[in-house]
Amino acid sequence: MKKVIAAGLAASMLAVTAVGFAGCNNDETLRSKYEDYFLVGATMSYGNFEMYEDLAKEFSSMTCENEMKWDSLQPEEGGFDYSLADPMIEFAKEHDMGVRGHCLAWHNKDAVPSWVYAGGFDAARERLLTHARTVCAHFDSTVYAWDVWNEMLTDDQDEDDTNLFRVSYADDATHGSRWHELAGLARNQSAEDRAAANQKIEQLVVDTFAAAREAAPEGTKLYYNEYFVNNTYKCRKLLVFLEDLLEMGCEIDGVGIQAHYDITSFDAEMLENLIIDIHELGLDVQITEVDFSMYDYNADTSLYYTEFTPEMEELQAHCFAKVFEIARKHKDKVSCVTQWGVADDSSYLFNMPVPNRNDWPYLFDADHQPKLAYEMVMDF
Amino acid sequence: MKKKSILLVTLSTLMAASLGLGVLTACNSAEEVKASEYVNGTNFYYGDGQDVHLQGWITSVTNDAWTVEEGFVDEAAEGSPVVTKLGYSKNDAWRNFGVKIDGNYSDFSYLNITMRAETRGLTPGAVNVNMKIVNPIPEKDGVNVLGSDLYFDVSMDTYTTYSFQIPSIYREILDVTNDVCLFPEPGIANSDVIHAGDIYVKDMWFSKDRPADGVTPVDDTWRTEAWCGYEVTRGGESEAIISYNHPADWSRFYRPVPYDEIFMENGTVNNMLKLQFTSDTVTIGETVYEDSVEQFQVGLWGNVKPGSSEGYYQQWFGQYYRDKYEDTNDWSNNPSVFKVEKDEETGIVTLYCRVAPALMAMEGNYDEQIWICFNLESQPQGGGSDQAPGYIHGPVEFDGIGQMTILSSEFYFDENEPVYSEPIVNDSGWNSSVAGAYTVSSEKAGVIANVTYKDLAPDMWCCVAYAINGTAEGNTLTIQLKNNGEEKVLYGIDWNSEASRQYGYIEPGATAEIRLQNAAMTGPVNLFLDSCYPGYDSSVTDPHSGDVDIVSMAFTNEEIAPPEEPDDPDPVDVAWGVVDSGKSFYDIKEGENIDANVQYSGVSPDLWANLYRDVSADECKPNVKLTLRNNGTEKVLYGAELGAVETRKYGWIEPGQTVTVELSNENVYTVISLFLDCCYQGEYTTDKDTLSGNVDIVSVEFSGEFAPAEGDGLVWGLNSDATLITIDGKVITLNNVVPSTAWQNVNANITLTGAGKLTLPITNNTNAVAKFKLCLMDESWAQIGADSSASVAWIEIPVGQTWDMVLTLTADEAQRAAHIMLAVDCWVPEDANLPDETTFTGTVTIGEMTFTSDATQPPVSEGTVVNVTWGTDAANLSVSEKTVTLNNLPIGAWQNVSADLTLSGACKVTLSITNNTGDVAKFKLQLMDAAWKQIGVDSDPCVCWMEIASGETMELTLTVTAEQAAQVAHIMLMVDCWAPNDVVTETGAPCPAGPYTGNIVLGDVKVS
Repeated sequence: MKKVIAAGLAASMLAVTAVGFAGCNNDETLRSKYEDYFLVGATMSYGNFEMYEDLAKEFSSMTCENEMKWDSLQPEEGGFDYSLADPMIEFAKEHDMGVRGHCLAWHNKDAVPSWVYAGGFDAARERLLTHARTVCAHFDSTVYAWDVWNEMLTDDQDEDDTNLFRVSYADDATHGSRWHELAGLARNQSAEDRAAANQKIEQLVVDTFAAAREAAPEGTKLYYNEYFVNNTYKCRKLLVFLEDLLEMGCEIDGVGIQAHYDITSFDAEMLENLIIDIHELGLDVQITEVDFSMYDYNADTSLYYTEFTPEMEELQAHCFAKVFEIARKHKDKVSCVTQWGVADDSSYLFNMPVPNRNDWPYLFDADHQPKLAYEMVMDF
Repeated sequence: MKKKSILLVTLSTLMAASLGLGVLTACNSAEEVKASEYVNGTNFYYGDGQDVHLQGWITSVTNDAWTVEEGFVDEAAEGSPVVTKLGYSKNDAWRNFGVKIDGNYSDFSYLNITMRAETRGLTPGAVNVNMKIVNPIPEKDGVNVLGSDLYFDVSMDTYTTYSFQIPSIYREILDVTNDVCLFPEPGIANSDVIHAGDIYVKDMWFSKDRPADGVTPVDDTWRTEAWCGYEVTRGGESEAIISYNHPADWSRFYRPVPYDEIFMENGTVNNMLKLQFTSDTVTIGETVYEDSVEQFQVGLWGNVKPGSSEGYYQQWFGQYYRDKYEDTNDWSNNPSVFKVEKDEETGIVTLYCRVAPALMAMEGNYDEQIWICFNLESQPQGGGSDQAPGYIHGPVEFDGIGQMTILSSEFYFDENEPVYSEPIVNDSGWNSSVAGAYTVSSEKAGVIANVTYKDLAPDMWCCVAYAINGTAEGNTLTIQLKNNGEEKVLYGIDWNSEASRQYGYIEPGATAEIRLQNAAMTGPVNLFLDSCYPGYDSSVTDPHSGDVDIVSMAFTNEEIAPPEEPDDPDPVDVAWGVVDSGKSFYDIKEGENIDANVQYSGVSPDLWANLYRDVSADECKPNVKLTLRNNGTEKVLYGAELGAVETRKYGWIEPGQTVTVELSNENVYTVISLFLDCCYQGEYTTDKDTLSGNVDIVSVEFSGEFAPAEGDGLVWGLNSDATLITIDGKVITLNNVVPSTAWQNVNANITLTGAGKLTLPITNNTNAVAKFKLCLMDESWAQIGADSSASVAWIEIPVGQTWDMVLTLTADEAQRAAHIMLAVDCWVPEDANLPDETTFTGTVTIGEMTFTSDATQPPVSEGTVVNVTWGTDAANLSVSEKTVTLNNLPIGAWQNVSADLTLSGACKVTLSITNNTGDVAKFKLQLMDAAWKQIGVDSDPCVCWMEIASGETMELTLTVTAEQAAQVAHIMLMVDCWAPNDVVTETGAPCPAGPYTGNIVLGDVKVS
């Protein structure tokens, strides 16, 4: 049952909000303000990048939302297609934005063609390594960082260090990974079989990073990318995973923390601790997909707001400010903060998880104007 | 970017006052951060990091009954401190005191308040309060920034500092919120009892660290979670009031139970829980919902259970249905059922729940928390949570609207109920077949297991079973049992073979050594201790207690001797047999010029073990003359019937007398049952404990003709094995049928011509969802089609509903059909939807059978071979042509092989599989569309499941509609699709442990 919430505040409060703020230097942008700290990025898509001509100058980094995923780059085996990504790369170059490559390997069935998995583990692995090498070589130095692997870890809330990876596709066709299935991961398997599957998965990761390292130009950074929301158990699993990878000599440079949140549940303490813990392993951190939705992704599927109220804006602003504050505090650990979108006129959140729902997740409003969040992020 | 006006600091202060933004400093400012201050009713924090002591208490109520008195000297407290006195007198449920805040309070981790409180009245009592920081986001105001709503009693005579750690996940909200609230007696409105009191607040403040004397309030009150959709409040004398209007699926509300509420300090473990509630009237709009609580389940929840779908260790006490539960004092020997009492006058419903079995089932996984937890009208039934949810198992649907008032929840000890005992370690492999019947421990030194039991009924037929995964190490088991008790123990023991079960007594202190042999080396070893008397000595009626050690077990391979030849080389060839429970008492022999001679001894007057004679369809007539002769010296009581208890007749046969019993049944029947001296009841009595006799069954004469059948022409009769059901016409009556054990059935003769669909409506008027199986049998009573084929139908019918059972038949199958059989109640223990009821009672009505010929079906043919190329991407499979090699395939791996396939039009697809893996394997054959999505659901005829024993070849069949055929792009065979805890259907043994090696060979894919 939808619950439609209408605006409920006096116009005077809206008017006060409209006064806004400015930094002391009106020519400053996010990228210039954060020049001594870290790159500031945004995510664009083939369908919308041209409309962000006005905001491109704010950002020093760009991520393609979908155009560098497997199904875009190699929809058929051997048939590499860069027709969507290349124009975006050109756009990024024109605007002096570095490009984060996202992502070489993933489980999502909508982003990886099923032919990839045919023939068993060894065949799939070969395809993956070929894909990684080919793609990294193609983009060459236009991409300064790659998300080599994405979203492998389980969301289970336990302290079982053998339960690291998301379930296999055979056990869960919606959320499961065929990579993990091919590697032999299964529910209710013996400890021995679980260990063997984990080892196989981790070796696959190591091999993928090695392939990317081999093909990408020197200096390209290689990342493992993951979402945590507020799941502290998953943070622990990440660290166990990273320790294993490092022990195996993985060519990993850092971890991408996606940082998808909603405004009423954002554990800043957890985020900061995670950054510190990753750094202690000798790895870099990038915040790769930050956004602050109005809705809890899983719990608020019946909630529909019709208006972005001042309370929402204010809370969102504080949340964004906190993320950037933490990143500034740890600028020795964090090399980029990217939001997963640009402005409130275009977002995956308009249709996920609920179709046709309003949301206002970014630093800029639908008219490409800075929101209170932008002002607070700039205010230091 | 547009230029915005530049703010002045003073303007930002005004904005902060209206929006709670906090003051923003100029970007290049080097000003010192200002100390907190209280201005115009608001406590401003500017970011200096120092504790903020809050002032400016206000009330949400503007009347004289709610007062704030600053500077009050509390002379009643030690030291007469100067405090703020908050006085309340409630005329509405949710009124509060509070203070206003503004600023980046996310710097702080704790909210603390030092206070005491007492109610006003002749005898002051404790004041229960709730502290809340309100989330200002629309529709999120129910979320307390302090975390879950905490209701706790404030100390009365002394001041206590209560500290609330602000969850880090909510801390940012403190930057934008304005209200810190204190609710006295939350949720309670004025009633006949005046709710008034005084709260004396010495201090309230935000801090980064917990104060040294800060305590976390103990909250053992009822609560829920924001996602659930329950509203939990307190009111009057109740513990909680729970209101709901379409709660989320699997919602919960619960009360944390302090450990010592169950495990008391004096060592007593409270083993019972008494819950009292009312089912309230709710009005929504113009609709009034009286007695609104329709269904719930309630139980104990323990620790978080990582990786589980339930989330927590949990044991449900039982299911409650408003429209089903009447007063019941019968626990039905089922520890999971609660007792219900309803007071019609007061409307109070009382549940008595057995706590000890629930705790013991959780095996200690409650050391971190114990909740009494309800799931109230929120179990899904396939629909979305925005629809009125129904109960997934039936039998009651509910509307998801209502209100429950929990009056009390009290743990207590009852010595007459199961008592709690510490978790017993048992990794012996032996387990009680009935929970609570036997206690098995592996902790006793020197033995494999120790088995104890108390007051076991002599005919309970429960056992401790030793499950063998796969095959045992040998075909001979030598097992030693020692009786530690003071009474002799009767054992019955077998290795997966009731027919070869051995019985015997073990004297007190003695050790018995028993040898069992099993050529297949599979299946469980079943050990009955003092629960199998009917199989050995039915004169025993007292319950028994005992203590037996399973001392040793050894598997060896030895020659299995062939069965002994009977003394009489001529086999008994009589039409009469005796049911299992009578086999040790009745001896049936041939006789000259008689149908059979029956001699018996040691028969208990109420043994109720009948002799039976099957009646074929050809000889079955409505009238029977059964002639019996008593050769003994004592009179004999007989009971005789024609397939239905309604036809039964009783009578005496004097010594030497011959009687002819005339029986009649207007419905077709398939068996004649005869009770001899074991059916004493009512007017028929004896003073003997056991009886013996010698009776000739002289003859059976059939006569008459049945009236022409109306309707579909099927005349249903009872199967000879059916003892718990009867049939009258088309109405089957079930009498305390225990689900999952009975598999009783009725059947009728049938003649069909040509391919088609046979439809049989079944109406379930029993007390629980019932599972049926409909199939056809050939002349030799062999089932036509496998259980998973389209010619066999399985269905689970909710109470009160009529559903069609449909058989899809080929011409060949129709031609072979001679009988139609309906099995009534064919649950197995592993069935997901097995109802909780312990017995079924009620009726099942068989509707009119219809048969629709399918003229479009082609003549019976073997089908056209379709060439396919099998492939796989499975980790543990490889395919070469039609041979699939299994490389250490784990059990339950669900790996598969597949091939491209296209179909045109409705058809059958068959595939034969030969299993060369060395173990029984479970397969699933299905069709996939171009997107690799399964066509049809698992129970459809276009999906086929099959368990194939090692070395066997079976054919899997998919029945495909034209619409489905159009979607087909691939055929997929799942190799090994066992689920956890699966058992092999044919043997009941646990599924193999794996891994699989060897291969399977696929036949041709045929389409017909």
